[in-house]
Order: sequence, then structure tokens, then C-alpha cells
Amino acid sequence: MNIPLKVDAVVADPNSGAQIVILKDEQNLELLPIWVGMGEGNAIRFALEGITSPRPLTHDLLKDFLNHLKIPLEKILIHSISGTTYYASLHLIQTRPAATTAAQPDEAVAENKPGDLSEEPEELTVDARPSDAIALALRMGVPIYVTEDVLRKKGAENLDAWLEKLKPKDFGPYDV
Amino acid sequence: MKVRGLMFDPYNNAYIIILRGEENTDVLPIWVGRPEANAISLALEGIFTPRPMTHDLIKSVLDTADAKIISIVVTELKENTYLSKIHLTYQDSEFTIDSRPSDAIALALRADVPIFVAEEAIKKPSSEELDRWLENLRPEDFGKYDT
Repeated sequence: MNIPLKVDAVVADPNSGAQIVILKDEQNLELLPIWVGMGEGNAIRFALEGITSPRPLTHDLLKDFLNHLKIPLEKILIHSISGTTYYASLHLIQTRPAATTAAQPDEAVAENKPGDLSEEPEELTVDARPSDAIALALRMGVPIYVTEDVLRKKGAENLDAWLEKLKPKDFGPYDV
Repeated sequence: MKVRGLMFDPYNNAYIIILRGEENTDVLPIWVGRPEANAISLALEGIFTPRPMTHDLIKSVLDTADAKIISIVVTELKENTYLSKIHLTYQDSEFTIDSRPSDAIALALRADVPIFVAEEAIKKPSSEELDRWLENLRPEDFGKYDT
């Protein structure tokens, strides 16, 4: 079963220059921190805080592509973890025009009459880093899921202990 | 045009992408931020990262959907900001998407498609300071991308 998550906050890691995206499940029982780079952290923060920029940023561009080409994003899924790297995927819906219908009797050539084309939606899956996937999901208002497997594996004791030690003030100005 | 250089501008704490025409006559410097400069530099050097960076993701979404980028054009200069368009084909239709030149260039390099610059973007009268700066640029400043 995949668990839906929401982005709780983007905080700055006081030790490195990196940013951390804190994901939580709906009951606030599970917590998933994902370390991301500056560009991605900012992209996620801007989406959370509703900050828009005069020109489309990179994730806005990706959203624009999907909107113009009419390829909706259905959801994103953080599906595995290997070592310290999380893997995610974008789940898109592509609609292809179906193959042309066969020639009818009395017709020399098959014609595409309006209404003959049946559209077949197809799910496309694209490999992505969780940071990009989350930045896009927030912009497109689609759900973020995580597999149970990932939630089980991420629960390293060290991590939980470290998180407990973090005091609210460590979260800096990025807390939403 | 081709990307002929990527430099750091310490005055603005930003990076500069230098586009140069085929005959080496027109030069277009475009200021970009660090993540974009990084994306462009990785593409120029042909470096593959273990996980897809954002522009790799865009390219891979387009590839999976079977959309093809045909070219990009840096179109005009509006209030000190260059605008750019990405031309692509998808399911027998053509699309034009508005973008920042940095993103467009980063994608064009990954898709190996031409980078064009509209006449209006080059012919814009540049300030004296920019002209002086451009005149003072030595070939070495362009880095190893100059052939």
C-alpha cells in the first residue's frame, strides 16, 4: 500500500549547506526527511510558500511542458531507497490517438472521420530524484506517495536520534 | 549560436554564459544562477550524474512521451532579461514553450539541437560598460570551450 505524504517543511541543515525536505504522513506519525540541493530546496520552498518568480523557473518549465502537451501528472511515488539515495518516479498519463480504423466497404481508403479516433490513455513512468518529483508535484497539485518499504527502511535509529536532538530554533527561517 | 564560455562574475555573484555566432562576430553574454550554470556545465563536459538532474528529468520526460525538441531561440531582451522559446514537436503538432534562456540552453545541449538568437536580441544597443567589458575579454577568459 502506498502512503500519501505531505511536505511539512523545508529546513536548512545547520551542519552542511544542504536543505532538508520534511515529509509527513497524514496522521503525523511518520516522518521522512530527504536531503536536497539548494536549487531543489528553493524550488520546493517557493511552491510551499506560494512564491512565484517573474520568469518560469526550471520546475515551472517542466510543468509548462506537461500542461501544453496535455500530459497530466497523476502522482509521484518515492518507491525505493538504496543506501542513502531515495528513488522516485513521476506517473504521467499520456493519451495517444488510437490506430486508424480499417477501410469500410465502399471506401477505397480508410478515412479518419471525426469521432472515429478513440483515445487510449497510457501511464508513463519516469525515473526522478525525489526532490524534483516533489517540486513538480507541489506545482501541479498532485499527491505524493511513498511505499511502505521505504518507510520501513529509512527508520535508522541514528536518524531518529539525530532528529530528536534538533531543536525548533535549528530549523531556521525556512519553517513553514 | 554555440556556447563558447562559462564564467563566474564575482561582482554579481552569478555566472555568465557566452553565446557566440558561427562566424565569431556576434557575442551574447547571459547571466544565470548557479544551478543553471551547473546544469549547462555538466552538459558541456558530457558529465553524467548518477541520478538525473532537473534538466535530465525534463529531457527524459519528453523522451518518454516521444516529444522532440527541435531548437531553441533566445528571442528578445525585455528590461534586462532575455526571453527564450523552446520549439518542439509532439504527436504531429508543433509547440512553442516560453522559458528562460538558461533552461533552454541546458536542454538544447542535452538534446543536441541548435541554439538560435533572434536579431533583436543581439542588435539591442548595449551599454558602454558592457561594450568595454566585452572588448577587454581575452580569448582565455572564454575557457576551454572556445575552439
